[in-house]
Amino acid sequence: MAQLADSELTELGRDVARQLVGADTVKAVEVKAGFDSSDEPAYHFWFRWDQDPDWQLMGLMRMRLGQKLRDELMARGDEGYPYIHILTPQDWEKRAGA
Amino acid sequence: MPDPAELLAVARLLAEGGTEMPPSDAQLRRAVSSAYYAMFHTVVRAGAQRFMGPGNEACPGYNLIYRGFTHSRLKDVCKRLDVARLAPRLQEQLGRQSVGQDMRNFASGFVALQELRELADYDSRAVLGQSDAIGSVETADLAVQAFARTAPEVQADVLALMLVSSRG
Repeated sequence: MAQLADSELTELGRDVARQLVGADTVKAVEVKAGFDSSDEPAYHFWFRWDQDPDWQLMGLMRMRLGQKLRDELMARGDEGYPYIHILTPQDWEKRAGA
Repeated sequence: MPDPAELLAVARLLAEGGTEMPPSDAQLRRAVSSAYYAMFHTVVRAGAQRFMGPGNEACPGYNLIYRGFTHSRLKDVCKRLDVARLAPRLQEQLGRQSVGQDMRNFASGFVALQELRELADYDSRAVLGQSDAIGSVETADLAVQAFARTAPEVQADVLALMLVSSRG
């Protein structure tokens, strides 16, 4: 299984977010590689949502971003499953401070 | 019998919290978990009704099928459905190249929420915010709607795959 470098993953996350929601909406992306609860390769992508929260849209974008990243990763031979976290700036800070 | 709509409503109440106090960590964790279980019970109810037939909820076989679905098997199948084009073995099993966008939306929502639910229920270090909780409710709501829109024949084949581990 091919595995992308952290910098490539972050750039991929940024690209996909730019395509699907726009650069003004998501201004920060973080990625962590590891394993999921099934012990399978996984990536956790965190996106900071810098507009007023539109929860329904954010719920939809969790699916869209995940599917697009899954397709992009698989096209690169990477079977790691992408898990998507879309956070408001407040929750982004809360996570960073933990 | 667990009602997916009630579970989703409970999840929403917990995630939104009160007007004066933000939701507690326990409320956020239970919101994520309840949103996931709304999806889980949507699937197992659909499976039991499909394979036992409508109106047979009181039959022992209904509960056997209901209890026959497992979280790990559902996640495994949903991961394999969350692709643009199904793997050859899955194409052979399902007799189609893809399951359609609605089933894919359900599958990706299910995998995402099962993982978050694992964190919410079992990981003492997990830091959950309202984004995770309300986002989970919205994702579950959209996924349940997507599942309901799936073509009946696709839904039946996927439910069979979720219930039975095939050989060969």
